[in-house]
Amino acid sequence: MELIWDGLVKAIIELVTLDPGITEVALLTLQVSGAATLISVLIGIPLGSVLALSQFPGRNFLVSISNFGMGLPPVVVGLWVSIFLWRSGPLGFLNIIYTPYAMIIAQAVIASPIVISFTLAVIQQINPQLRLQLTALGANRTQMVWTLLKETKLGLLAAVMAGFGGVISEVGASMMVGGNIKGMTRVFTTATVMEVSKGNFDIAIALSILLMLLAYSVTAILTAIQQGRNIR
Amino acid sequence: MSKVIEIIDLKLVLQGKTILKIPYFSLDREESICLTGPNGAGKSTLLSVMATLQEPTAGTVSLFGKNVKDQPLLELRRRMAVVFQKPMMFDLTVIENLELGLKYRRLKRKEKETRIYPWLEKMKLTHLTKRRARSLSGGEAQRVALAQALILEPEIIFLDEPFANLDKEMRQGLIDEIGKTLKAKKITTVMVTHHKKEAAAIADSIYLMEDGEIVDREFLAFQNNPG
Ligand SMILES: Nc1ncnc2c1ncn2[C@@H]1O[C@H](COP(=O)(O)OP(=O)(O)OP(=O)(O)O)[C@@H](O)[C@H]1O
Ligand SMILES: [Mg+2]
Repeated sequence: MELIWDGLVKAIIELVTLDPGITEVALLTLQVSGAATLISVLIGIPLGSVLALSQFPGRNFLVSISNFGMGLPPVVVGLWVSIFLWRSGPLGFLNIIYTPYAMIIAQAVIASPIVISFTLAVIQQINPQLRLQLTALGANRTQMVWTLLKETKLGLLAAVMAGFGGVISEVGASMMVGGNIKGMTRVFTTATVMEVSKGNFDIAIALSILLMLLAYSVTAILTAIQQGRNIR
Repeated sequence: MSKVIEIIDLKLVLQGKTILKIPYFSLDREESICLTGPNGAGKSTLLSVMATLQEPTAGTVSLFGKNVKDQPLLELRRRMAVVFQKPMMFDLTVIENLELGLKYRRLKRKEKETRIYPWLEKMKLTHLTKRRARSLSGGEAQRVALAQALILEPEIIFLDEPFANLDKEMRQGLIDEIGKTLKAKKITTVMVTHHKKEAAAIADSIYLMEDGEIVDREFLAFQNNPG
């Protein structure tokens, strides 16, 4: 009990005093997971839409791959991204292993299947009559997709939240490709793991509380956007 | 006279069942007809085929004198308009729903307004423009769907029981209004209806459908041109 209390007090102190070490970690967490989510949205929404709206050989296979990808263990992603980014690896020349960029790549790999599969599901469950209506109204392909995306923005924001939730909470990949380097690749989850291994449970608890606060704030903003226009 | 719609040896099979079987059907420019017949006869499906929304299993459909397979579908569709049996509204306001077709055709704002405005009045929708379209009553939604199609100023219009949800008074007013417009603008019309009175206000003849086939045709020319 005392431990939790100590953790809470530490969290509040760090929050109120804007502890520079913690601010740095919070900012990096937000930047890395935010960028990764953005990339996964840029990849996932168009890809999910295409998969939902077209029929071609191999489509079902791609859909099953994406659905499978939603459950990819972050450690596995971390390992494979590392292999590619190691100095001797095929993308070693980029020289970005143990940098935030490597973490963004790994997290984008984790979040993309989530966004793709959510988008696909959301668009596919639109009443086919609505699609027919758009065709009859003379919408070209882009216009059709755009109108359907607007129609499903509730579901799409859920996709974004799921993607963000998936990456801000993962630790395996960030640890492996980032290395938890202080002031450079240390994010909330990797810092928490480290403090636990050092036996600093109060700090770990403080970190976990701050991580949840951060994740909640972002989700709350997205929820406000999602629900805002739907009240009437 | 030039044929606007021509169907030859049309057959549509869905899930092993023959839904449509039409050896020949044609419609001249500015001609207007109604389709009638029992539930499940294939009226709505025939409309979809003519509007290029459903591809037939066999046979040819020609629009504006040319096989639809030899024409860009998008441009074809932009010369036509469809009012579906079940009006479909997007999760937008009424006015945004009305604009959709015009937006896709990239009309200027001013132009959109001048097209939409008169139909708001005629369809008694002026007080509803800012409402979420999903919250409309059945009759209101149907009027939006009608306006949405008419503001496109199509060359062909397909109407699938467009007055079914309207009360008697509204129905009578709108039928006359729309009948006049279709004639004045010389819009070729295919309308599904079960009511002879509706048919008389719009069409030159009625085709009777049964089990996917056209089995009879009745001319209404005399009622239509009194004097
Ligand atoms: N996708 C489909 N698959 C299988 N059968 C279908 C499909 N679409 C329509 N049908 C069948 O085709 C037949 C004709 O349907 P259609 O909707 O054209 O009838 P309708 O004449 O418009 O009837 P109503 O007066 O009830 O509107 C019906 O038996 C229907 O069940
Ligand atoms: Mg029907």
